[in-house]
Amino acid sequence: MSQRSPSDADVGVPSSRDEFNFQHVPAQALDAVRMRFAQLTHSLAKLKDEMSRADLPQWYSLQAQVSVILTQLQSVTTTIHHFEELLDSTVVYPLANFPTTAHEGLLTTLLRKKNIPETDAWINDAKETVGIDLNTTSPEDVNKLLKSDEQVTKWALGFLKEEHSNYAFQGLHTAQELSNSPQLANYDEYRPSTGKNVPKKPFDVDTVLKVVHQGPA
Amino acid sequence: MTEEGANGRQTEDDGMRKIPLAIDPNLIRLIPSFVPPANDQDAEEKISEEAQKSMSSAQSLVNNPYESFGSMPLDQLIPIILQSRGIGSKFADLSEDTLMEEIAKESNTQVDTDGDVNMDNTEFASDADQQAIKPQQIEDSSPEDEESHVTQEQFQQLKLNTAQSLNLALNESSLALEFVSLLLSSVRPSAANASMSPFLKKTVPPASLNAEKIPAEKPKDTEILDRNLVTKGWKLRSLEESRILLKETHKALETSLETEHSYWSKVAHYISKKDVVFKMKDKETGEKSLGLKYGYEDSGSTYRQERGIAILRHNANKDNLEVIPSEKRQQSALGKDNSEKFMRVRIFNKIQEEDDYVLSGETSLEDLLVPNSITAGENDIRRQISKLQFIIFEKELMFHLKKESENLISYGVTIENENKVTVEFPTEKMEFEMMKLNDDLIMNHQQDAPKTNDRKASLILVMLRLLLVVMFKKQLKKKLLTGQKDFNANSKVSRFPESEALLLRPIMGKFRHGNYLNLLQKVIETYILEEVEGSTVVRVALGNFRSNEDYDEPTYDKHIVKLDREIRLFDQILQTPRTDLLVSLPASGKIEFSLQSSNYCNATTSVKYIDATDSTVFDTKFSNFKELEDFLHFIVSEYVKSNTAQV
Repeated sequence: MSQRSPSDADVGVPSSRDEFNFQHVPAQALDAVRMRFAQLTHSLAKLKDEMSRADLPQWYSLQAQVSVILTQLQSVTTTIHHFEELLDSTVVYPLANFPTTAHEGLLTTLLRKKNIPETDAWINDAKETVGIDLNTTSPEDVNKLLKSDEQVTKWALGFLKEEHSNYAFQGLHTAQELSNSPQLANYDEYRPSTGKNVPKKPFDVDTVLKVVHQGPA
Repeated sequence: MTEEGANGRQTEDDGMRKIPLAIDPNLIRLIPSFVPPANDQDAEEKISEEAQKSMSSAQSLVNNPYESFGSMPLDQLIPIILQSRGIGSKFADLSEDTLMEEIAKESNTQVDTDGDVNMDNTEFASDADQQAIKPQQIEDSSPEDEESHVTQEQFQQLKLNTAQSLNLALNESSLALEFVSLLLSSVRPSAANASMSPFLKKTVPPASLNAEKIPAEKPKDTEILDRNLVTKGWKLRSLEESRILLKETHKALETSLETEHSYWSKVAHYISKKDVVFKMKDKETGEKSLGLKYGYEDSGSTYRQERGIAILRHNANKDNLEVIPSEKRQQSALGKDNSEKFMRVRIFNKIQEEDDYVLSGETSLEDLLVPNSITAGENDIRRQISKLQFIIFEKELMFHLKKESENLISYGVTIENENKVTVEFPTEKMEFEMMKLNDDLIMNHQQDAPKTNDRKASLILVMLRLLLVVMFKKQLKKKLLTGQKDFNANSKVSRFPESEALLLRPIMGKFRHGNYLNLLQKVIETYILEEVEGSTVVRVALGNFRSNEDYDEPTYDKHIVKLDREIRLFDQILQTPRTDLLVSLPASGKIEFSLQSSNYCNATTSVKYIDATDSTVFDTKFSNFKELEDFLHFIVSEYVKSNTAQV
C-alpha cells in the first residue's frame, strides 16, 4: 500500500488549485503505479464479470485470465517496490476543497493505510506458519535463520530445475483424454527429457506407458 | 476485454460487409479455425506457455504481458488473439477497420465500465469486513480443484470463495487506483481523469489532495525482520501446498500405474497364445480396451447369432480381470433372454396301453455344476472364459439342432418351442431342451435318483457335441480348400454346397435303423423262416467303405490331412446306416436283404433273390414294409415252395 496519510491532517486553507504547491506530488511514480492499477482493475473486473455469469467460461480461459492477472499483480508490486523510497517518504493530506464534512467516510477510505482484516489474517497466518516468535528469538538468530532459508531456497530451486529437466512432461495423454479429444493423438508433442539422467532399464517407462495408452504408433 | 468479446461477436455478425484481408494461406492451415475444439486446445496451451514465460521473465521493472505478444511467432500469437476474441471467432474475419472501430469503442467505454465497477466497490469496501474470508479457505480451494470428483455443493462453495476473493481483490485494486488518480489529478489532470470513477469525479473536486515529502525514514530492523518473516511464511505455505499437489499427483499416477500393471500382468498371466485378443473399444465405459474372442468362429463355427466377443475389463475394486461379453448389454436392451443355458437330454418311455410317458433317463448336471461352483470364486478368468465358451457352444448346438429338425417333421421330430426339440420313437420319446442354469434346477437335480436311461441320455448328448465339433472341422476343411482353390479357380461356391447340420440324424438314424431292422427280421421270420423249413438268416458283415468321395481327392496340405483324419474317426456314425441280411433257403438259392437309408431316417430294403442255379431272379427295392411282405409271400409261394415241392 502506497498511501501515506497523516492522521493529524489539519488544513484550513482556501480552495484553489493554483494556491497550492503540488511540487511534492511524485507524479512520475504515481502515474506508473496508476497505469498498473488500471490494468489490474480492468482484468479483475473482467474476470469477476465472467465468474458471475450463469455458465462459467472454459477452464483454460479462466486459467489464462488468472495468469494474466498474476502477471499484472507482479507488475504492480515491482513498480511500487521500485518507487518504494519515494512513496514511503511522501505523506498525503486532504486540502480544504475536499468535501470533508459531506464525505468523511470517503476520505478515510481513500487515505486508509491499515490493512483490511483479510490481509491482516493472511499476514498473521504467514507468521504462524514460520513459527518464529520475534519476542523470544534474538534478531541475530532470526537473521541467521532467514539466511539459511535463502540458501536452502536457492539449492531447492536449482535442484528442482535439474529434476524437471530429467523428465518429459509433454505429449503424454491418458486414454481418457485421447478419447475425449482424438485430435490430441494426431500430432506428437512428446519430447524426451533433456537431462542426462538416462533410465537404467532397457525400456523407458514413458515409452512403455505411451504404448500402453496409445498403442503402437 | 469484455467489450472486445462483444465486439468480436458483433464483427462476426456484420462480417458480410467487411473487406477481408489478404491472408497468407499458411496461417489458415496452421490454425484450422473451422475446428473450434482443436483451436481452443491449441490456444489454451500456448497461452499457458506464454504465461509461464512471462512469469519467468517477470524480473523486469515493468512487466506487460501484451509486450511479449508482439515478439511471439505468429502460430502462437494467432491462437491467443482468437482466444481473446471468444470461441467461434475466425482470424480471417478480422480486418483493420473492425479493429479500429473496436479500439475506438473500447476507449469510450472503458471509463464507464471502470466507473460502474468502482461505484459498487467503493461502497463495498467499507463493509468488506463482513465477508471475513479466512486465508485458509482460499488457499485450500486449490488442491480441491485438482480432484476430479467435486460435488455440486463443493463446487458452489469453491465458486463462492473464488468470487469473494475476487471481489476483495477488485475492491482493493480499484480503491488504490482511485487514490492514486485523485492524488495525481493535481499534477496530471488528464491522465488522472481517465482512471477516476464517475462517482469520485462527481463527489470530490480534482486536486483536493496534496502531498509533502518528508525525510525518508529508515525502516527499523525489527520491521525488516518482520517483513522477511512474513515473506518466509508465505513461501512456506505455498511450498506446502505445492508439496501436497505434487504428492497427490504422484499418488494418482502411482495408482494408475499400479492398476495398469496389475491389468497387464493379469492379462499376461491368464491369456495364452491360444486366445484371440484384439484391440476393442469398451462401449460401456468408452475406453480403449482389449477384446477376447471366445466364440468358435476361428474353429469353424458358422454361428452368427452371437459374435462371441468379450471385453477384458479390469475391476479396480476387486483387483481382478473380468470377462464381459460384448453382447450382454445389447441383448438385455433388446429384451432378449441371455441367461446362461445348457442342453439337457431327457428320455421318456411310453407306458403301454396308456398315452403317457414316464421319465426314464436324464443327462447329469454334475459335470456342469462342478466347474460352476468353482467359478463362483471368480478368481480364475480362465473359468469365466470356459464358461462363456460352454454357453455359446450349447447355444450353437441348439441352433443347429433346430435348423436340422425343421426338415425332420415327418420322422417324428417336433420343435416345441425355441428351447425344446422332441423326437418321438414308437416306444420312447427324447427331449432336447435348453435349460436355464439356476438354483431351482440344481436343487431339484440333487434330489433326483439315478434312472435306467441316464447313461443313454448322456451318451446322446456327448455324441451331439462331438458331431458339432465334426461340423466345425468340416467347415474348417472347406475354408482351407476354398482358400486353396481361390488361387486357381473361382468356382468355389458351387463346388462346396452349404454344409448341412448333421447332428440329430446320425443318432436318430441309428435308433430308427435298429427299429427297421427288427421289423425286417420279423417280416423275414414270418414270411420265410416260418414258411420254409431249414432256412436260416445270417447277418452279412459289411466291409469298411467310404461314403464320402471327397477323401479321394489327393491333398497335400498337412492341416487338411489332419482334419481328414479327425473327421474320418466319425465315419462309423456319420455313414448312413446299412445292414445286410442273407437268408439261405435250402436247395432254393438265397435271398439277400439290404436295409439302407438315404437320409438316415427313411428305410429302403433291397431284395435280391438268387435261385439255386445262381441266376438272379429278382433285384428290387421297397420302401414300404407292406409291399415287402407281399413280395416275400409271392417269392416264397411261387418259387421256393414250388421248388421244394418239385424236389
